[in-house]
Amino acid sequence: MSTNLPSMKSIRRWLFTTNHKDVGILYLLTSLYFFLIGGTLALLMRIQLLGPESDFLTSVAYNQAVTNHGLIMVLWFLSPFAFGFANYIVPLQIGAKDLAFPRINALSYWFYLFSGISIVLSFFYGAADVGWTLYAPLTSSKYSPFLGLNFTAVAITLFIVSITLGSVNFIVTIIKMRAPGMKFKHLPLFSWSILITVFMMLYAFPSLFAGVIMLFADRVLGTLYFSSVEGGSLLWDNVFWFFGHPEVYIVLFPGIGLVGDIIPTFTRRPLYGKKYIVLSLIIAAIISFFVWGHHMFVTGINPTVTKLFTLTTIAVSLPFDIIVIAMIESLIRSKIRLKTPFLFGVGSIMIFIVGGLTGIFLASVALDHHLRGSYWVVSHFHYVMVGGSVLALLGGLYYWFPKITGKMYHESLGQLHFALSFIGFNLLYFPMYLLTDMPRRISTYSAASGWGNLNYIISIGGFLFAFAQFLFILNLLISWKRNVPAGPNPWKSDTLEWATSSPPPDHNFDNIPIISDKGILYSTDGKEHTNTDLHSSHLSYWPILMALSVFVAFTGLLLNQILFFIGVIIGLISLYGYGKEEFTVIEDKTEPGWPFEAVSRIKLGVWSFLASEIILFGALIGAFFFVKANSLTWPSPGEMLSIEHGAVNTFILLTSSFTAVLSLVAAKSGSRNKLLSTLFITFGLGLAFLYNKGLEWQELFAHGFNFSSGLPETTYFITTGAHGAHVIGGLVILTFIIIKTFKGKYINGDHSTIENFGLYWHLVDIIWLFIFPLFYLL
Amino acid sequence: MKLSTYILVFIVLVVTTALELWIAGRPSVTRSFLISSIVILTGIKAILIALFFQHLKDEPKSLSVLLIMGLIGALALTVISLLSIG
Repeated sequence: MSTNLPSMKSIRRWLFTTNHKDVGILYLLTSLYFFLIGGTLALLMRIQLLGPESDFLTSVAYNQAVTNHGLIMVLWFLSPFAFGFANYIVPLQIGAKDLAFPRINALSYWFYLFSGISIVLSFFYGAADVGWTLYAPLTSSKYSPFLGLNFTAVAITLFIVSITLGSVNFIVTIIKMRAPGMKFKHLPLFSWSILITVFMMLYAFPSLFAGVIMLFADRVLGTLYFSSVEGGSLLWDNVFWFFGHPEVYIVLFPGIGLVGDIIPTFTRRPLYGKKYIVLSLIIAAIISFFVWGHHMFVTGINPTVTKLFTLTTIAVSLPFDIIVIAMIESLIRSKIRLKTPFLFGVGSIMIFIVGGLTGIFLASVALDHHLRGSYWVVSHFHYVMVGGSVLALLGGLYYWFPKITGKMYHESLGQLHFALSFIGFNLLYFPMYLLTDMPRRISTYSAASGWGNLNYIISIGGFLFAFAQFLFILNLLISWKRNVPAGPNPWKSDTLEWATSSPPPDHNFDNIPIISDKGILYSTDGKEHTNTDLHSSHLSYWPILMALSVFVAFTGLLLNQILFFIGVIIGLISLYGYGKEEFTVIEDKTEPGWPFEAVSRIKLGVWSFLASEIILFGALIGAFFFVKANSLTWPSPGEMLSIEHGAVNTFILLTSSFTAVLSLVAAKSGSRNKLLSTLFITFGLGLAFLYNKGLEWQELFAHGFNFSSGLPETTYFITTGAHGAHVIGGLVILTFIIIKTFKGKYINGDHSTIENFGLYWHLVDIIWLFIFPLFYLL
Repeated sequence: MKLSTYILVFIVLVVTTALELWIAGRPSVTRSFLISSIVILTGIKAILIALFFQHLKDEPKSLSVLLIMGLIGALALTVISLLSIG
């Protein structure tokens, strides 16, 4: 049975699709485009450094190339490339028809695309030239006065929205939508790696989001987070690297998972110690949140803390030892088929070993002081990120190309691509290990430095690597044109994506797969595709429009007020359309979803989102503590803020939480009038909270307290502003709920929306309970 | 959950907030007592809302773990950042 999507040649399909395979292809193609942009910037840098005293690029242009190469490769190429596969393959690997929330999946992609457009736009307004780590105070308006950096901040914001939506979606999908019988032990390593990765994303990105909110506020509103001595570079470093180190594993793990699927296929035996690999990935993911300080050894942080980070940094390397050893063990005495995906997979492990080993040196404070600013670090992280991740993902494209296209790629060209990539890569990055005396952030060097020869070799390696990628694109085009049928399972692999046709039908499997230790069976009850009757096209106009509206509004905020209002209007229309659209996803029979058996998909999604919110506000409140601890003076309670305003708002929110829970009681009892009245009271209390907050802000402004008048004001306005934005978000949701209640919804046993709204609203209340004493009473 | 439970929790929340305000308004209270009592009272209020209004009391423990992991992350970021100040 088909879902009646328009043909693949229809533009309508690609703009409005919510099918996970279409979205996966969109992710893959868009990320490859960014690979091209990031790669071009890298080549510009290598031309500049080819020889000494080059004036090919100005120092500003060079810095812009370095900055945006890093940002684009890490954020707009690596993760989205991996998530192109995740979109396409994970539902197939777990035997599902789609992701849990198909429209949110499409929304996630469009936010990603528009975030990418924003970073490209930044080039037209003076692109950021401060390094991909966006270190403060270089990012302040004083040192970076151009609009380009504002576009970068907008780009990262939109990207984080995309990532958060995607993380929630994959968590729910992998936990709740596995085919009957598919225990976690049956989950292929790639799907495992995606599950662990999205959990890391969920907890890591909100910290960056908090950082970008503060950065944006500093640049647009004139707040003082990073331009003050009390906050400054150390505040940014902490917030950024709390995200930054897990981010390394976020881009690495899908590659490891992919190699974990490739190796058993091409060695024709199960992966050695799979459960220990999974356990190692989980342990490494957890520890990765406690190692960020090793990126700050040269900043003069507390020596005791550096010892802690030395320990955790060494500890985080241990799980990777287990992973690498298990993969090597899988190769011993196996009947290897030396196909392109396998070559990339093994090549990736070889390179990752070098990258991992050279990283351990950086756990030593003494060595780090010498190596941190040198090309050693550049080489180390490229050996991890390019070797460990890019090569593995390229192997993944060869591995799944037959599945995605139904066609076999050109094997000889693929092997040549690997050989030249491997040689080019090592020629490019290994000599950098020898350049331990060359600073890594200089745009040129003198002939007397003696760095010329190695830089020449490095640049040649860079161009060889780039040429290899040209062969890769050529291979894709030739293979598409050659049209050699691949068949459903060309690799004789036993994971579930190969148990359906190539490419798979829109609904993935003709029958529900049932998994057991003996293999895959299929349901034959004929009831498995009733959802296609309910939702025949699976198209939605709203995700693209909603993402576009946010992009237009942000662009307007930076460039033109009219554009901003156009964005807001489109946003309201798309929100209305999105909320009104009947988009049903039928829940097939699945594995119970341990450890969330009793939790519905939407509720698990909401809770996952709320978990990320805790980090977001934790980081903002942490920033408050940080600047306050560094400040010599701070207003005492009642001096700047009126305790009355805070207390009134606390009682208002507490009461609104109570009325929100009464709404649930009313919905459960089936009383429409009680439900409507409690919803209206909750709405009114939310408005009253905002009104009181508005009054308070007005009074503060009237008394000369504004965004830039001091750190107490800065932290107060931004933290309560972010909280107020969440209240507004809650009121928008509540508006939809009230409209639908008028139409008779939620009182006939379908009260889950009321409950899920309550979960959000109560968290907003809880956050205020912390903000109130911190800002008003202590 | 019963309506009476919600009402009771709401009353406790209001009384606890009033208690916070009363303690904060006492000039004789030492700063360390003020901080510790506010931390405890705020913690109690947050836990009550999570357990009863968000129904975590009746939900699988795994949901609480999901949130506690976020809380640990936020606390780690805050505490270690503060400790990192040379």
